[in-house]
Amino acid sequence: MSNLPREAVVNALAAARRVQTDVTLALEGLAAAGSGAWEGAAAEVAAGRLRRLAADAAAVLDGCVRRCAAAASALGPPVPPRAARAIGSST
Amino acid sequence: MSPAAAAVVRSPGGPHRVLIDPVRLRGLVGAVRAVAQALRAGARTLIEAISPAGGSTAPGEQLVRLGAAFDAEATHLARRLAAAERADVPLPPARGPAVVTAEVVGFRYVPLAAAAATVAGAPVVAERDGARPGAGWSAGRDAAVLLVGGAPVAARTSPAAPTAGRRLGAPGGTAGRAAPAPQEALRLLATHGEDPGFAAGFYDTLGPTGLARLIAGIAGQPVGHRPAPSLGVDRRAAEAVLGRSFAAYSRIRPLDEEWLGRLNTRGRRGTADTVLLTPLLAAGRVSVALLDRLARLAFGAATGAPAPGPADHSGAGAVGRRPTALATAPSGAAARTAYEVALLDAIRAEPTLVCAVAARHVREVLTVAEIGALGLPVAVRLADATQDAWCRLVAAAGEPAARAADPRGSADFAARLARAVDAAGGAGLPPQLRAAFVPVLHTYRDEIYDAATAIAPGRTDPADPADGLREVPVGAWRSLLRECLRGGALAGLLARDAAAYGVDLERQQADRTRGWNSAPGGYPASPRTLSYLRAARAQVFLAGALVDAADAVVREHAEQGAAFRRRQGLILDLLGTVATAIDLADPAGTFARLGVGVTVDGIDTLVRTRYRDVSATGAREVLTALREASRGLPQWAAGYETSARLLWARRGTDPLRPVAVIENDGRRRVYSGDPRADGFITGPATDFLDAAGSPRAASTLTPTQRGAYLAWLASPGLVANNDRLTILAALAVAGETRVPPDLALRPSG
Repeated sequence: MSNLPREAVVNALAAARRVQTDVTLALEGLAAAGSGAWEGAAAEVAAGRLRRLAADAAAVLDGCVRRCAAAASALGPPVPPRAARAIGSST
Repeated sequence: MSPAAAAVVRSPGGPHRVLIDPVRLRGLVGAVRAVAQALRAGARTLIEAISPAGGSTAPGEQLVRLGAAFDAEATHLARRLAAAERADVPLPPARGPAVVTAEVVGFRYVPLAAAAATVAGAPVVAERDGARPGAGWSAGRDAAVLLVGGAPVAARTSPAAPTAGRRLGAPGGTAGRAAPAPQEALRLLATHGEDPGFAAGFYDTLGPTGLARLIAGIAGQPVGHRPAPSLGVDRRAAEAVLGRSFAAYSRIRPLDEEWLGRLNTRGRRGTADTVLLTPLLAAGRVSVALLDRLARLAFGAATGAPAPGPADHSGAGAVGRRPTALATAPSGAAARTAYEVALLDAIRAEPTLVCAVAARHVREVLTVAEIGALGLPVAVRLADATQDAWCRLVAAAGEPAARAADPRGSADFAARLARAVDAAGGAGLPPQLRAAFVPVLHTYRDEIYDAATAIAPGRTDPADPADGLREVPVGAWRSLLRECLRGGALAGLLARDAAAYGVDLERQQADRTRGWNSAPGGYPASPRTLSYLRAARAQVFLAGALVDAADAVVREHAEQGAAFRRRQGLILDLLGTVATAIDLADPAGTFARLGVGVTVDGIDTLVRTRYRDVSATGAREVLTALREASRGLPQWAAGYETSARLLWARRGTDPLRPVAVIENDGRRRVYSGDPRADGFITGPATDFLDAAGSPRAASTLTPTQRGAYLAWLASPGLVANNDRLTILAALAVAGETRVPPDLALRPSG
């Protein structure tokens, strides 16, 4: 990725972080909803499967964010942030 | 099956029982589907973002597969739920309310007829009419008798009972059966405990003292000076069964002070050992009236103005309104904490009660949290578990569900929270509490930004429960926002709210003014200009609170040791990330760029695993730039109001040009700028003009008049004809606010 425009890489990193946050929030909701919903051997098996899936999703996103971050840092210093833009300035 | 009912079903493949709470399982199914949805949406985002950067799309594809797997799990769980609901066949409801109560004395059942005659002072709790108890009531009574010893009374006294007994699944009675009596009683309770008649029969018979002893027995606690009786039941399962049926009972009987006063194992009166209820509170939804009563007993009555009480059919709130002789039984600190946590969590699940309790105690919660942060060597702070439970309660009170269930209580809580945080200053609040403010800010997004961008302050609509929030000083909302952002958690969500408010406002105004520029000649301004100014102002408001929060973190950063610096460096980084995405001129772009941010737990994990004592220089520069850019539009609201009033005053020599627009409903409407002709003044209640025909000062108007006045000020007739908006914009530019005439005033809006 290192030969490509920095903006694309930075956007990819931001997107990956956003997805990671959104999925983390959804998984936290799942953890909160799971307690006490049902009990028994079947419940434990199902909970185990959900835990494994959640761990897989977290690992995929973690790896993705790390790779994007590494690509972004390989491209050099960041450009000035957009926050410095005032109302209506066109750049 | 009642919504909160739990069913015991046999799984088709064998004798293994599966205990299902349908309400929670339904929630779990929803949560699993939400994860699947997040993964699918995330996969799309990743593939779209990574492809232009030349990266691999494999992670996106993996997310798609994982989303499908989560969906399959959700389907599986939904099938389970459906099976449980099909299998659960409840008893037919009892014909009428249960009638008579006897008292259990010392775990020995005293038959009803004897109770009044032979046991001096044995209280008869309810004797409402002369009707015979229904079959369900008798069955419940028999189950209680099984627990406390003796043969089922039904076999001896009630002709209706044998049928009930068979229906309850104990063919041939219980005598001589292998199952010991307590286990059999709990089995009956598990199957039928949520049937109101059965629950009434069971708990009426048991009485509060009997219940206290039963709970103690299940927990293996000694009763009085005697050792714990062995009931031979699984404690956790028994408490769950008892909790669910007790919850049903609490909804059909007013468990008043008198009842609570006898809830102790020693058979005393006026001593409520409420801590005993701990395991029951977690297992079922106890009635709102009882929860309110328990809350007043545990945390004291209202502080400040009385909070609106929940819907109440049994005199709830009496404990707080008149002196009570009730004493709470002494208990260990750990048991007390567990009870308070269970009680707060139970209240949290009741949207009609949570706001009242949160409003009642929000000031104390803030004070205690701040004192706790001082690290004093005396025990004045709450136990961590209790504090966390209060945080959860504060968060739940801010949720839209609570607003929908209790609009007035919810608005009252939001107003008190903002004022309390403003008064407290907010230093040293725990991050969980800061995060707990997020829901209120999110739920009342429109009201808060309406207030922050209002042309004139004050109430506008007495019929709206949330209208009282307009009386909260804008500075208090800013304090609440600042203290919330200071925690760093979900800062992105709050910034998205400000941006989304602006986007919605502009879109609504555009929808209402379609085709405004079709008349030849043009107008001094677009009728959408004001909504643009307000949208930008909403973002400036957020940005101001954000840089204030960052300043506070910077101060702490400088003052604290290395351990704190790491956390604060991280928070600055998070706030800097949010600031980077904010474009004050472009709410829609801001919204698209922002994520919701990181949760408190996420921050803790980041602090632990990913960040050393990072330099905050970069983040500080971004925030300084944002402060510079957000200084804009001083006095813009007053400036606009003045210009609009001038416009109206000069109407004699400079008539306003009518503005014709197509409204939301597709109808053409012409705004002349005259508040009467345009329908803003419909009578004395909405008349904001004085005798000379000039608008009176906004502060002297009634809320209804003020609402009409503000609507008129923002109407197309007045905005599009406003020739001084150009001056306003120019003034703003002179103050380095950089409102661009080309953007703010261009005819297309």
